[in-house]
Amino acid sequence: MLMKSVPVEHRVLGLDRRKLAATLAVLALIVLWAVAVPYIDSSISYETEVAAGQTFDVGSGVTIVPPTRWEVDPQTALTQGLLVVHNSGLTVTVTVGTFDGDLSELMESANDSLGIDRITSPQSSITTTQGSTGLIESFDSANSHGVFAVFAEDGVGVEIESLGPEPMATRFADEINAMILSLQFGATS
Amino acid sequence: MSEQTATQDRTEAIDAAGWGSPVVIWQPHNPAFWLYVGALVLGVFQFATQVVNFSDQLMPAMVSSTILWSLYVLPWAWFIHHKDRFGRETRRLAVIGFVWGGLIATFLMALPGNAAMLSIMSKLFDSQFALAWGPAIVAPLVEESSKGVGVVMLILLASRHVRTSYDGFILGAFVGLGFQVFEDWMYGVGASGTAFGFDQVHNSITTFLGRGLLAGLVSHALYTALVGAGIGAWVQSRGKPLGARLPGAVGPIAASLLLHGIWDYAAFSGIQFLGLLTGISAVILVVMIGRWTNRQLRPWMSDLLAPEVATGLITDDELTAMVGSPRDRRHLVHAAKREHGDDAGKATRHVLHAELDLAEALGHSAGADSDDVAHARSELQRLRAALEVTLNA
Repeated sequence: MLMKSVPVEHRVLGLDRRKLAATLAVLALIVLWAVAVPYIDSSISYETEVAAGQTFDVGSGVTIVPPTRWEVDPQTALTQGLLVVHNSGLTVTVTVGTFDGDLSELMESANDSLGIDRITSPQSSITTTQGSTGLIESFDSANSHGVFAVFAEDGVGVEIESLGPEPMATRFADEINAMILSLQFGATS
Repeated sequence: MSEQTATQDRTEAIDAAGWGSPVVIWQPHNPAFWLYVGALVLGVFQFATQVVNFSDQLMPAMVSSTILWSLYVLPWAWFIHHKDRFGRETRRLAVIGFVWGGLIATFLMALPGNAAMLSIMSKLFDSQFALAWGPAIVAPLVEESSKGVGVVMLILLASRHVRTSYDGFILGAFVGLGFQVFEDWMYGVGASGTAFGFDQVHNSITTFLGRGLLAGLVSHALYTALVGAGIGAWVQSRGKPLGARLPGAVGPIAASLLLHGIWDYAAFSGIQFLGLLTGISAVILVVMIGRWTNRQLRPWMSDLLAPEVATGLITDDELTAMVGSPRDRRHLVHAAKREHGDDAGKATRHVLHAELDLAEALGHSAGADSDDVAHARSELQRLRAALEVTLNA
């Protein structure tokens, strides 16, 4: 279709005015999802946010550093042995307790509590920044993605589960990985 | 009906359906063209940023996911090659829609929109609420609107061609397919990123099996086919009263949003029965809507072939079968088989196929007597002679 096919009375700035309104409506939707809603989100804070570098004592000498600006579940922040942090539908749960077995036993018991509709990846070994070795696996259901990691040291077992919608799991993967690697045993309170 | 009237009806039908209209890519006067180009540049930039982030540690996952999801597209490419036989530009439009769905709707719109909406829900209400209901509420809203405007863009870019609910249905499916393939590609690679890069190929295969094969049918291609059918129905019914236009437009779009939401809720909550029920309902609904959109084309199909009936090339019974449902065509074949034997049934089927080829050639030539039309007519005459032999045997 050449320019001459657009009647003179329908031209504005060299463009076909008849298609301008619908095109602007599409542009408005692009701006809404790509710019406006993310801007609104960034201007709202959680009530109980994780400060940059804030370390949490989960209990039994275990500490961890959740991602900055995530929400801390205020009840679990005061509960020994449990810490829950959230962001955008993602939840990371850290559970600490006494445990004397080996890592594969801990992983096995954790898997028993997972839903049967999940497809689980093989386990792999992982080492925290402090040097503690644990096991990690990921799992999928139709629309959610999760990671499960276990650590055990000196009679203390730690389970970390991250679960949430797949887009968020992918988007925040680096932050969740950094949180898992920040796990430390043997902290004195 | 006179031959002249029949020919005029044919021309009007081809014009109304847009079958003979070309699609021009370069349209500097069209604001939608510039919006598409600008959005594509930004979408490609977002996608490339994601690829660069992944390429550090996730190359095996990227390669395996790329292979798997490329294979996934092949049967769909075959489908479009064989499906819309009258419009000559459908393939090109399908590619433009696929790219919108894959690079613009996914990376420019839905990813930031989904993340921000879920985050806002989580902040304003409660994390558990966002976790339980977020995907079911946010995903249909953000994703279907992002993909739906892809169909609107196709209408703005090819308004003489995309005019029917059937066009919207087929092209919507391709916008959705692009979204599905690129989004799932990213999840396949991202799954390895969430597990520190372990078992990358395994993670890609797992995502492909889960999202491509097990849940692949009840996914974006299906939802956006419904949205596209609604948008196409709105365009097709232009000039009718609002009350007559709304049900055909709003119905399929509302059904798509509802099915998408329930499916996501069931999938995320692990309610398998609800997921299965939703999946079956979605497939049945999309087949019904697909047939409904196809039925909208029948009067035009009839007008397209009517001059061939007037010249005696096609019989009335064959025209009735051609513009009818697959069942009508099977009925004609079975009747010939029952009365004259297997060979007659087979020859009748060949004649119907040849008539479909002729309709396709006429659609492509905008009703003119092109070489392809002449060839299709001669083939039809040859096969009809073969049919006569079996009927007289």
